[in-house]
Amino acid sequence: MRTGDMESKVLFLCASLSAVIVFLITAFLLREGIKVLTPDFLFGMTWSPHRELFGIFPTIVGTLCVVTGAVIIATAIGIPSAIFLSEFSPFWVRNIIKSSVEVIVGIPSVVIGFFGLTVLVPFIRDHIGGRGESILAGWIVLAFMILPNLITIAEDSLRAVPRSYREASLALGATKWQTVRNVVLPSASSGIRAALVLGVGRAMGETMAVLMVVGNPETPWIPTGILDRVRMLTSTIAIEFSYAEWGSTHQHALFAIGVVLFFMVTALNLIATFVIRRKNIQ
Amino acid sequence: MSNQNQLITYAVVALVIGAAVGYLAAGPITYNKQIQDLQNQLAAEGEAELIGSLSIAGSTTVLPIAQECANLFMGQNLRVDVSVAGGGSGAGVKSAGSGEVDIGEASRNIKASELLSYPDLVAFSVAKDSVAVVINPDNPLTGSLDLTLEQVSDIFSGEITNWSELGGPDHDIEVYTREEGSGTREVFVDYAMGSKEFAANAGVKPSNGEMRAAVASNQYAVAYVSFGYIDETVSAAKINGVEAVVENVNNGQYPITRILWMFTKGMPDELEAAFIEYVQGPEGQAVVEDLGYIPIY
Repeated sequence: MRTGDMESKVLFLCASLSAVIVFLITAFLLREGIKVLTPDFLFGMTWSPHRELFGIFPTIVGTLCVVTGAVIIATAIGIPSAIFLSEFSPFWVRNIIKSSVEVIVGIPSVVIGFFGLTVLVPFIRDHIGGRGESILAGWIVLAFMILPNLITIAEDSLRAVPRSYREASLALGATKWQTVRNVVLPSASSGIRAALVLGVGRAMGETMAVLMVVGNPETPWIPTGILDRVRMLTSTIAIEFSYAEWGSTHQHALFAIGVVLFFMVTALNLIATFVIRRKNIQ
Repeated sequence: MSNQNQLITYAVVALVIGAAVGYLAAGPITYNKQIQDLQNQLAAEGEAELIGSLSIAGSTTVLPIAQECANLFMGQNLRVDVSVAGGGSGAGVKSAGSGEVDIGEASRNIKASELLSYPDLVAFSVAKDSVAVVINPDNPLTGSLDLTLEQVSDIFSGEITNWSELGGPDHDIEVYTREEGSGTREVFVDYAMGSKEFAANAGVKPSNGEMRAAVASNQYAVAYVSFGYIDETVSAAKINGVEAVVENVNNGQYPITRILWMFTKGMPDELEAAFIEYVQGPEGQAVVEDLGYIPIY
């Protein structure tokens, strides 16, 4: 036997394990959920298990509202932060900001949710209106959770732009800001996009923190304002799963929500990969 | 001469240290001996020591009883480990029936469909309980709110939407409810809601504790919780003029009452039986009473 054969086999086994697990999870979700995955399920307006009504359209819309808003807020704060850290910040300032940002990553999501429930929700109720539990609260909590990764990845991809690009631009007489805008940012765009996609994926799958602040109405409706309460796909599964009777339509419907969530995140990743690749070919 | 003095000094110091070490060492020995005596005594009385671990899960209504009894039970049976979790009545029936946990808890009766799935469940009643409608202590109606069951169902189904309709401030009533499958919710539906649906905008909270927290932090909220969760952070409404207290459940005036259950799969084994007997016994029932539930033994 050639040396290295054994080792490469072990490595292959490890590598294939995660692929197998992904495949098994997909197969399992589909097997359990496929029965209820109908247009009535996807576009039904009423979710009320005891009446055998399983429509998740308002929940899908609610999820998209919360995720989109959170990603926009996180982008609006995160990308400028990353540009500052990578291009303009003195070394010591960068060190302080980066390490505090990295601390946020370590905070368990349930703790952030608890903070949202006890501080943010009463604040919104008293100063803005509604019950406090709202899309707005979900935006803030989720934006806070995806911000650190967004900043870190975006900053890394900005710093990965070769120094020679910047020097060439500056040598041609461009100002620092013109260099950042016209040279550095375009070169780093695929990395920044990847950061956004990861953020969206994280936001979509986040459960505990948002569950605690978005309100989870008994029968969700299509939200009409940022103080409306919504259900997330994830929180519906989390709240109801332990109670759903084994083998009931309700349980299959919860698995089907998992399938929908899975495909939404996968589709998003595919679109992002496609966009990034096309950009690179140009 | 000085050498001799030194020797004497050493000898004295050695003696003192020796005595101290001996005294300290004797402490643990007598202590161990006491424990041994106690164990011998217990063995002589024929009480076999219980050994093993118990897992309990289910209704968040029964949870505090199980938790407190488990702590006391473990204090008396040092080699028994009891772990208690929530999950809800549905989960309690399911996990006991499928053997995932040793003892399941439910705050409602077993359904026919569940008995079909798990025919070998054996049920033990451990306490009686009721469900109260609670509001925030800062709500001006605190202390004076007196509802008929009809009004209760109107509030929770969204037909009465403003506190002013009940004589309170002009503000929306913010309704909270439990998730589907919760034992507390089912009892509340049986007694109060009837065929009415909960208001679409009622906020869903997945445990008694979160229902209480929602009301405690919101002046205009209303929710329903198990009697065991009523404390100074919330205020219970009267129903048909009857105060929501244990005496009124016992004398039949308060209109909502239910039995809290524990289940085992098949007949309980020695350890399961010992724990359930403990909960049903005088000490367990004292815990039941302390926690605001109603003893039944």
